[in-house]
Amino acid sequence: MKQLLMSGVALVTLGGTAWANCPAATVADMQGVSDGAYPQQFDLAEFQSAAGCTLSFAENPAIADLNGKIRGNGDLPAVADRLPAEPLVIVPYDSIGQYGGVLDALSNATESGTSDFLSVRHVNLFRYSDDLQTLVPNVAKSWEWSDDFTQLTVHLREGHKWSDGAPFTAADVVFWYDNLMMDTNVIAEAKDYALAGGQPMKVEALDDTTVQFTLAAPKPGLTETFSFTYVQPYQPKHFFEKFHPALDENADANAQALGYENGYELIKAYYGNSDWMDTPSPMLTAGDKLAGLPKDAMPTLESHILVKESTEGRHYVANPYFFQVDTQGNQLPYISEMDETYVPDEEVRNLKLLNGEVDYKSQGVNLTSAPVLLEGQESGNYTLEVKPAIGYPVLTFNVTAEDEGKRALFNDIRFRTAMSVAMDRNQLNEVTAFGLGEPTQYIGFSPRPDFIDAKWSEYEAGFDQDRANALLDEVGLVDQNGDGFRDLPNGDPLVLDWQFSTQSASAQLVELIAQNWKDVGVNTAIKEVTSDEFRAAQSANTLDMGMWLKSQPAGSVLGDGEIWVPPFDGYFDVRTGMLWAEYLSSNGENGVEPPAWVADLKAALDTYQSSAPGSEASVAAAQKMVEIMTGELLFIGTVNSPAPIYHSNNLQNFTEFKTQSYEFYRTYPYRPAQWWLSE
Amino acid sequence: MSAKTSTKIDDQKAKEAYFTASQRQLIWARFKKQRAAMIAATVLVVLILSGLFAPFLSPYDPTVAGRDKDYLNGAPQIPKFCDKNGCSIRPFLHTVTRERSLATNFRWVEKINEDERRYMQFFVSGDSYKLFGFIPGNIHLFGMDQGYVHLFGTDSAGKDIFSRTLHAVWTSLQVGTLGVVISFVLALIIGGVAGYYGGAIDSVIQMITDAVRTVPSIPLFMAIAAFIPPEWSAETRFFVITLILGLVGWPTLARRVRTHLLTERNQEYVLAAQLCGAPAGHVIRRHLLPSFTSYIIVDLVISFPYVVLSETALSFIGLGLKDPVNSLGVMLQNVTKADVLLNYHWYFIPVLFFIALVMAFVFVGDGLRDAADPYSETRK
Amino acid sequence: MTEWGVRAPFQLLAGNKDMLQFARFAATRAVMAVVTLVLVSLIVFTLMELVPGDCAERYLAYKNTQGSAITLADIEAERARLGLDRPFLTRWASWLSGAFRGDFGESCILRVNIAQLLGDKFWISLWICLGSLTLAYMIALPVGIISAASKNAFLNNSLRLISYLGLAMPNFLLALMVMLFSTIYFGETLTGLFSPEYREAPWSWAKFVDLLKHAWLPIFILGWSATAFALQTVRALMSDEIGKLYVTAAAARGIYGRRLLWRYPARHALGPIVNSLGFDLNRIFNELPIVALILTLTEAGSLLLEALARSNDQQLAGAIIFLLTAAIVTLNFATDILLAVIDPRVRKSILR
Repeated sequence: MKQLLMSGVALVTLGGTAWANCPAATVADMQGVSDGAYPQQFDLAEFQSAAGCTLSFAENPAIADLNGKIRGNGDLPAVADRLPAEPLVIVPYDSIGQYGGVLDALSNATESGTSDFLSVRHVNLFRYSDDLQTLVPNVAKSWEWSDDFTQLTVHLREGHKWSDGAPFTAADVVFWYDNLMMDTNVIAEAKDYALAGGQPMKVEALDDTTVQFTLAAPKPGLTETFSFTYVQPYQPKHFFEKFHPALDENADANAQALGYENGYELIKAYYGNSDWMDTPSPMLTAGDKLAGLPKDAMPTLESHILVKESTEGRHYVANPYFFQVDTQGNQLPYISEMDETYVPDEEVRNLKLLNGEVDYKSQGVNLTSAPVLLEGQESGNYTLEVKPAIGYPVLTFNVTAEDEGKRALFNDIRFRTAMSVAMDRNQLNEVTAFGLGEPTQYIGFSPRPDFIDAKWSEYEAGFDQDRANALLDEVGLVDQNGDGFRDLPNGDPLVLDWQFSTQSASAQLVELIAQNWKDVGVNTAIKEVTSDEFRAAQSANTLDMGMWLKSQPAGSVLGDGEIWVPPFDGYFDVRTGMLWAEYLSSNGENGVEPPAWVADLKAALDTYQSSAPGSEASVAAAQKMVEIMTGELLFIGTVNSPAPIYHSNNLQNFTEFKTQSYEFYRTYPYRPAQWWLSE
Repeated sequence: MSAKTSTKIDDQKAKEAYFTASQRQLIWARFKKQRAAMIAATVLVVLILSGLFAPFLSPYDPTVAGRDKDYLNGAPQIPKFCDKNGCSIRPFLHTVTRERSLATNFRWVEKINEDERRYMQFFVSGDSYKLFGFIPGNIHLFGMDQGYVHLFGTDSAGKDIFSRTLHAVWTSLQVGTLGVVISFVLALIIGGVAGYYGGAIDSVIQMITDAVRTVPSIPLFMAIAAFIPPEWSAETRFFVITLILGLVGWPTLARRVRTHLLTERNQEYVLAAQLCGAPAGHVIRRHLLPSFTSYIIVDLVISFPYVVLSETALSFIGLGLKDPVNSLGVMLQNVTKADVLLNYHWYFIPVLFFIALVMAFVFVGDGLRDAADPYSETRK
Repeated sequence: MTEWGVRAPFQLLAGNKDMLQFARFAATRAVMAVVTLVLVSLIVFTLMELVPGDCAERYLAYKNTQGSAITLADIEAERARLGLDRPFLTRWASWLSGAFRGDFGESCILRVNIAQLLGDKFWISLWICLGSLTLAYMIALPVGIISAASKNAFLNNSLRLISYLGLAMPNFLLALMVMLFSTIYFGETLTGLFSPEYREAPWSWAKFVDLLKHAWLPIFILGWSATAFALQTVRALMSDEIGKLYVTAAAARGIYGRRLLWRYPARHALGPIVNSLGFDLNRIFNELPIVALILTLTEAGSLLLEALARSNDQQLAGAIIFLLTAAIVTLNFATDILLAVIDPRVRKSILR
């Protein structure tokens, strides 16, 4: 998929201009440079011809110092030799930046509340542009699909290098797939996003810069997976191969020499056991062994690399081999260093935000803190924006609860309907979201695509206590012992045990919903737990009900259908039907057989994922999915409230986000590598 | 302390009363003379009464069930007697309309309609409750003819802070009493045995006591809290937490009991009782314990605020009572926000109650200690 | 109301007036201290054991990040690998023998050597606690003596009011309030233990000064709230002593005022106070995690809270508690010896 040189040809023939300095084009002022094939970015040749100039490259004056902080990195070659032959030319939003500065960030703890900051340095094969609709190349130079979406060919950048200077090639992609994802010693079970039609893909390196994914079933969503999830489908083979038992027969011996039990243990010490890249590095885990290890952290393609890690926080420096330049040829990122501090207490985080000690944060800044943060904008020299969110708190009842009485109850659609209509969502909105939110039923997709009827967003979401009472009576839930609360048909008192984490919703929301339910006679005991406790209890199938933020953009469902098949999401999120999932994964040997509609839902999902987006088949399948998912009320929607985004006024080239959400991988569409710090 | 300006006869009478007074009367007489302790005692009695009669004194249910959905995060409303339209014997409030938006930084902006009055009423029927946990009722001391009145304002869900505070005082008093009683009983048994028998038994018990005192209480709480089944109601959980507080609190008290016993048991009257063939339990109960009742009362009063404080700390680390429950610990947590400090000052009213409660106990404790000390009179 | 008699049973062991007797006394106390330590470690180990879910379960659940189901077999294998299938007492014994050698094994969740993870953190916590303890008695001793002896009701009451206020203001509230005020009016959140530039730096004078700049706030908060208890103790002991005849006798000899108080009752009241310092330390350490959590101090207290509340990391929690117990027991031992050396009455009872 070669980019055609269009207007550039004419300009080049004008002679002299080709040697002039390139115009400092920005999104705000393109200085006459015409748009390229993709918004806000160019290939090098494409830019040079569009602007009629030749870029000469410049670097961060402190880059040698920064490189010195990366243990295991040798001396730096010249900047032109560090960049790929065809670097990605990024058009900054407002200005050509100045190098330097330390970006200060906050997280809750080592693996808690970190995705926001993780996205700031993130890169992937592709990227969603800031319109959240256009897929653009990033690490990849270009890509093409076969007509039936069963073969994806990705072209990489020639001369692209890892952060330690080693070449990045197609072999690194193959290594990721064959030796990490599909090796059960590393990742216990291949993830759904790495499969097509449930079958493994074939990943081949056609040459150093061309990699081909061959799929058993059509999966147009694969490109989405590689653009707005955390999954980076490449890992540094050169670094890992001598420790990987499948690639080197001395792997275990090599690892043992460094104090690890075997090769896999060493690989996991750097890589973790999933594609989630924020696991503790050897700096935290290796102890005495660290000094013997070749590097403190594995090489990366990201804009910054981890150089220090402790239980208090982490520190990063700019990747001297980063593959992007601005329109003046300055190597990105502008920001030299990043510092992440862990602050577990929300109120202390708010204080730090108020005090302007942070440069950017959106995850974990709750709408309830908005008033005080809005008022502190001037004194703290920051700006707070309130933007719509994608996910919203969704409740579910454990349809495979261990308690038989409760399981039967939770499986009764009338009960779930009653619980949904007993909730006064307008009140929830008023109290928890300043009335800014949108009361909604859960439909799986968010935002609601145009081809889904708006009625589903309101399905059984109106406040109707009479109906709730009638339905509950019908189910056989009546007050038998006279305590004012309904009891189970077998006479046992019914108390819904609701354990929630405030990471999913405020205690207030939970309290109000519990009161709504008490008003229709369903006694609910609420208990706040930590997110870890919630997840562990959910995995152990000991919960009555769960709540977490949920929903996905239609595009990402193409690549990852996890929320449509039991247990309807991953470890970090809200799940139900754990035993249905066990039944399906064990082919019926263990667990509980799910109802028929689960299979229908899966079939519709398969059709949706394998059809060309926008086609008739795709739309029909999506409608079917919503009809089943919402019709069954397996998950009950609450209120979709907007959320604040905080950024320092010193942070330049910061564009307003369209959403405050994890779903497009937070800052990634807005290109944080071109942020810079004034003063 | 104060100079006596009475006639000789009065003086004589007073002396007579003094020498024939029981120990309790003597303590009371000495206690009365301490102004700080008397003030504290008055505050304490008022707090205990208001906690005891909280359901009646407070106008609304303190949970989300009694919330005022039209007055979230509302400032305290002080009923008044006069406005520009004249005065009224019956106190009244003006009708308020409120709105908020991004333009107001999501703060409520109030518009007061000075022409519309809502009158205060007394002995109104409202949310039903159970006084002392078993007497059902629905009459509240005061209320409004329409709408709500919030003397201490409301929180972000519209719950009446006045009602919450009174109920919270009651909860905290219960926690304190139960916790103190449990630790007291344990302390009496363990300290009593150690002090009465002395010797090897004493040494072993002392070693165990010291070991228990050395165990940090946080892991103890954590371990026990992990056992509390989640489906237990707030009340049951609360009871268990009190139990834990009591179970942890005994060693200090036990040590005191033991020390007293060690000194007392060698006194002649004990020997006399033993020679008469009184069993150990009888001697401890009938002779030894009464000998230092006053000390024990003082110790009880002094350990009270520590139990109440432990409850707030437990709430904070997520083991104690949580928001829907009304305890002073929970109310205290709600003020630990920048937003509250800057904008919602009325959230601090329960904190004042908490401080008053703790201080009252401590000062009454000090006063009782001085009053129980026979030498304090001669010194001051 | 003296706690004087407490140590008596252990102090009757001596025979002749002899250095040997003193050494025997010290040795007995040392043995007692070790026995207490072992006893406490058993209590703590049992408590940890009672918490539902063991290390293997928690670790696998924690690592099970993307929802791939873990089987009971996996948990069993991990259990065997960690040695959790051995009997309770065996595990306790091996843990204890490791602990006495300073080897606490690996953290259950983080999989890091605990001695390494803790590093200086425990010492920082201990010094913060000792600092608070010192502060508490620096306030409580003079205020307590004045309060017990003074006839000036106003001075007496206001001093007590301020001291007790530290008790009445729960320390998490105090910490947050100080932070709020400081943030809003001085633009400084006062959090953490080190400035970022010293966070991973090796120890140096500058780093120490930086630590002091941050540590004063927790010391102040913990110290103030510990003052109330200390004050009550001092006041009670002083009240008892002042009423005794020897004080009256001394006063009759013409000693008065500060000299009288310091030379007689205060010196006697000091004994029980010194004796209970170890338990005061424990009380302060119990409050440390909450303050540490708020001030984001990354020391052993907050680590303990995290190990217990967040990750159920028994190994880590056990190690911290063991160290703390060791510190308390050592302090108790030291104060016993100290008392025996400075107080003639105690010395006499040993060397009788």
